[in-house]
Amino acid sequence: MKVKNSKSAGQVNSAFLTKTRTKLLDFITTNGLLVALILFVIFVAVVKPSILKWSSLEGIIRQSTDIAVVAFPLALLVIAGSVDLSLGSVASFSAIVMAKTALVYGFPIGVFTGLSVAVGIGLLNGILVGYLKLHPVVTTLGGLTLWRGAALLLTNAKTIGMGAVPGWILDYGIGLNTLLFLPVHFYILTVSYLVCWTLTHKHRFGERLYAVGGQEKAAFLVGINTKMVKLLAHTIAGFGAGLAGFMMFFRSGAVHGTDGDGLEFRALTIVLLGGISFQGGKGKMKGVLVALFFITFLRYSLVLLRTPLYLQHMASGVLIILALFMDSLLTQRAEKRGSGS
Amino acid sequence: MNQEKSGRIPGTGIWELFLDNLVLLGLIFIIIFFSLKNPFFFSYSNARSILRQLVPIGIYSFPVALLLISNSIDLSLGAVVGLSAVVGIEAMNAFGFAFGIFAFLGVGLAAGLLNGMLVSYFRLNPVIITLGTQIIFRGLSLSVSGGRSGVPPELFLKIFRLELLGFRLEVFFMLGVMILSYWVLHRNRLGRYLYAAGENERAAFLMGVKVQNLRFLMHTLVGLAGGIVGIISVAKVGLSSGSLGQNLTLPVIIAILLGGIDFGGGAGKITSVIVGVFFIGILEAGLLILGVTEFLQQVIVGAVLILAVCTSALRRGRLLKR
Repeated sequence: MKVKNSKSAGQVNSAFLTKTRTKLLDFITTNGLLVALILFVIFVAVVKPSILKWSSLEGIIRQSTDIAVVAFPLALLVIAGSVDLSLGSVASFSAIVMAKTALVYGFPIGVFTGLSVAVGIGLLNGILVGYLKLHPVVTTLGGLTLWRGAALLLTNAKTIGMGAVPGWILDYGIGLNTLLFLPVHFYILTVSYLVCWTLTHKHRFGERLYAVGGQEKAAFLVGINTKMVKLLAHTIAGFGAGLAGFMMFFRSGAVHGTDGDGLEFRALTIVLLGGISFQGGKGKMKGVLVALFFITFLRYSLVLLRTPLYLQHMASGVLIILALFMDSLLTQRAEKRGSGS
Repeated sequence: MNQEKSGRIPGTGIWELFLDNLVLLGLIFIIIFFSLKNPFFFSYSNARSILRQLVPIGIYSFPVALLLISNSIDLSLGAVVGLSAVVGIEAMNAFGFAFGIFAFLGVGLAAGLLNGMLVSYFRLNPVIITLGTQIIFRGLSLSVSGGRSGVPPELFLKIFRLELLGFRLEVFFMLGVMILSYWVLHRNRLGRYLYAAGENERAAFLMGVKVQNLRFLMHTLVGLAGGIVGIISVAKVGLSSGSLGQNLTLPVIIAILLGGIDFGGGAGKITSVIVGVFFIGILEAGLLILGVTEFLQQVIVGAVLILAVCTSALRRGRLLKR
């Protein structure tokens, strides 16, 4: 009797154990990045405690803003099943336009012109990809070269824009002045996240994004204007690139035509690492936020730990491959579960 | 008007003929344009130098065209060239000529193997994967070279600058790659398999085509071609550095798209790719002769790429109508 009892108790116990284990596994796979981020922060804090000073964290926020304003809109675009590889070049180009016009017509008009140019390029990409149905990767690969060349052509590869930003605004930009104890960048980051989060998860537009990215044909058949959705997503991404151009200009008060180089790649790494599937139609914005902090913190600590430059570059290449691995693993798990139940 | 057009038998009529030979017409147009701008352009010696310039694009384009037909892509092309050049010359200076050549080809092969493995056996998206490996290869070549350029030994330059019938050896090599690709794609069962894998992966699989093995093989061959392009680039410049091949990826993709190879896989011919290669090669050379700055050249190349995607989509639209 007793033996039987203890055995059943053992069974219950093991069942409970496996249950908690699957639960833990679920938690780790769904929040894996968050766990990794926390572990990583702890590791760095042990190796080099000076990183976790307030001034360092402030620096991290300031640095991550120009990637963030590209990554969040890019996430919308990838959810809709498209992609834009020209965002970094567009950011450079719009920053150059901004600086050039600001030098002549003043800061506000310069910023407005630069942002409009970026939105216009996004619109153009949207027309090419949405309405002419061109392949987004190759089309925007062309844009990557085109706009970078244009930015360098306009400036003869010189740094321009010195003195175009009024002094008191620049004080906010380089972090001398703060607003309510926090750098202005913090507010820009928060607002852009909230806007993209609302658009994706709390607005009808978000549902359409997921529908178009998941099953374009089905989305079309239920009456969604799929071309328009892609056009809008591309335009929003273009605006994000313009905002990044503004951040680059605003942060240092001068811009160079190569300032935005590689921005699109870093943003894409963040988006994919954040669990947005490159196939489209899957993923959540909060993952992108965690991935943003993960990547920025990683870059920052690699710099502080004096890792050689080529290793820093390679780390981002390895990370994007890892992100794809994770994505395919999760998709396979989900498929298995779908067929099992 | 529209109805009348669709009522016709497809493949006939002036408009169809025009669309089919759009790139060829463009090629003739730019040759005439550059010749009018600069009389020197239309000469035998310039034709030779143009041919020399477009050889790297050519050697790369044909294998990559086969890769695209099987519905994959490699965006790390340029980085592979840089890495193989840096490692190859380092190895050659340290261990001798033969070992160096092996290093060139080995690095290309290894890069192709890595790409192929990730794309076909782990089934990861080729665009993102090769963007990632591109960054890794660039980082590796920077770590090997330390940012300095390497000097190839005399023997290397002597051998790879050898001329036959007035042309460098590499020109004949390009012809060889071209004929081989033509044979594989249009005269061999492998070509049928490539089309099948690109057109409808599932159907190809059910037919018994080992789609993943096929893509793996194509990625490996493209990597090997990268090693060869590495050798040729070093011989051309006379130096090795990680930035060799930096401006090679886009022209190759442009040549292929102009050649009517569809980015979704499953369509295209080698003969059209030849026209595409000559178009982009002559365009680049002509811009150089006109003294166009590097930046404007980037703008033009980017715009041509977008135009190339447009022509490719136009042809696909017509194919679907049929």
